[in-house]
Amino acid sequence: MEEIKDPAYFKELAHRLMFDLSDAEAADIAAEFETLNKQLRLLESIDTTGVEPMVYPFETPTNYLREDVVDHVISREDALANAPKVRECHIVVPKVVK
Amino acid sequence: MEYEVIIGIEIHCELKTKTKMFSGAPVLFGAPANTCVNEIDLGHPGTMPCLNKQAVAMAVQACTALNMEIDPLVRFDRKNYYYTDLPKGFQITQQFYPIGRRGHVEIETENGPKVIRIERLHMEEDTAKQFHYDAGTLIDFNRAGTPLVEIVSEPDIRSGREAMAYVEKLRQTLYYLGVSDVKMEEGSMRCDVNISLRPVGTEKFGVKTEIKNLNSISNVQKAVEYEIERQTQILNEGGQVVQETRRFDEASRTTISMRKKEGAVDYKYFPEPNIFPIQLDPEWIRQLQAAMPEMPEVRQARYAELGLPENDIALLVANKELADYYDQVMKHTQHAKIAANWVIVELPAGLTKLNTKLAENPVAPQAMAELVNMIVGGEISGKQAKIVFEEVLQGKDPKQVAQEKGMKQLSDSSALIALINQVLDEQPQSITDYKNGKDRAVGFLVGQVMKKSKGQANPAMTNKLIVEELKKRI
Repeated sequence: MEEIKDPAYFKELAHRLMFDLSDAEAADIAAEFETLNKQLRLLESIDTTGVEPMVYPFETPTNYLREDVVDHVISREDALANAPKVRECHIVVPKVVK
Repeated sequence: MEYEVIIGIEIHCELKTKTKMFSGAPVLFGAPANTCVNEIDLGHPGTMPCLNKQAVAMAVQACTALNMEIDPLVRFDRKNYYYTDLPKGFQITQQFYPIGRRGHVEIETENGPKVIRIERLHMEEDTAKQFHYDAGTLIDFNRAGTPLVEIVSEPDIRSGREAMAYVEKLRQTLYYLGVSDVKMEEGSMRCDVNISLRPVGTEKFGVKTEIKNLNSISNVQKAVEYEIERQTQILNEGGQVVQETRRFDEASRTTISMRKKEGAVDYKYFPEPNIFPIQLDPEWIRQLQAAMPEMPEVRQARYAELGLPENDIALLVANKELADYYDQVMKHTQHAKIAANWVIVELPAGLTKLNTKLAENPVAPQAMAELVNMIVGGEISGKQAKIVFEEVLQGKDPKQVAQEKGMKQLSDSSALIALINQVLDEQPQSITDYKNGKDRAVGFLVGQVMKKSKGQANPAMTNKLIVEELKKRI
């Protein structure tokens, strides 16, 4: 399992996800994370020798594919309802050119 | 120093489905902003993706046309990154198990045909469209979730011309398949070119740059040629090429740095938990493959067999709709070359005069074939055919037009011989000229007979009969 992460690690992580954490928030998260980590370390005590890792809970593939028919479209009002800022029917965000 | 150019090309192509890759919202180009979306496209919490059958069908056909191995177990992965064009914070793609692997296409080069290997073809979803202004970025989510295939070539391409030929080959193949509009200028086909140089004879790849913003096939060639020149100059001056993304600037015909690559971005790929692996039915795959339309190279071979000149073949194959029309015409006539000439030359000229497009072509294939048959059968001359065609362009029947205009080609040999002898009596000088070996006298006499017959004499027959009559008088 991974080593203990300090608050600075979470500040950096938050920065990469484009938001800021205060020192207090970062310290809280670091503490919470360590609690979770402790729980996960318990799992390490289970012997998994010879057990293949699984990605999905069921190993049988499915075969359903959706027909190419328009079945659901929402109104523009609904589409834009959650946006804090709208201009000319577009959602406006601060300019961050990748 | 001599350098070897190494080019690999990634092509993103929007599939022509009615709905999104993972949602039942419509895919429409040019629709008003944010009117073709639903909660799945906007990445609302709790929404679940559901794979579009038609998109998979098109990907299977594209793989087949590009000679690829198809993985019948469809699996998706998440590519995680945070950017405003990606509402979920991840893109669903096929990182680990692309649907197609190990394909190839053949391109024409100055040194003959060349095989370009294709590494992979995978399905993914498009991002939202952004418009950057000083005051902020406007986002239209209509494009978010549009089905895409990404096709990645092996680094087998060696020049700007080859790069252009490869992109054109893919464009034509996907267009013939009908799986995409492949319009580079509208962004339904997008092309990223990776390019590096290495000293000839060495194995290690040089530092590469990636060129984006190539909005036409000819710009692919221009951008690559400029970039080869730029990198050559840097290396010759003892410098080092910087690994970066550059964009092609159409006005200056150069490439301009967009951003440096600071190490590989970690997208934290992992299998998409919301889509279970989907097993495709082998019988369904076979049916899709059997239902594929004719591919350009097959059409090319078929036209070569008809005996069409190379130029005509190239022109028709490059213009699918015109070639489709030609095939319709050929159902009603045997005369491939003359029909091709009328379809390639006279029809587009006529449509231009009418200020209309091939899609609204008023000339029924049967009418075009009829006109060709009338010319070959000697019913009307080529010159008369052009006059008839003016009215065929108005939707009229060629036989009827010829009749209304009293057009008949004079092919009755006794009538023609009478006319010819009249002309010969009037033109003794021509007979002397012919005796003295001046063959162009015949051409002059044909012209005189045409004039006397008011353009109705069959030129080929007239020519032949004049020579016969001349010989009698020598």
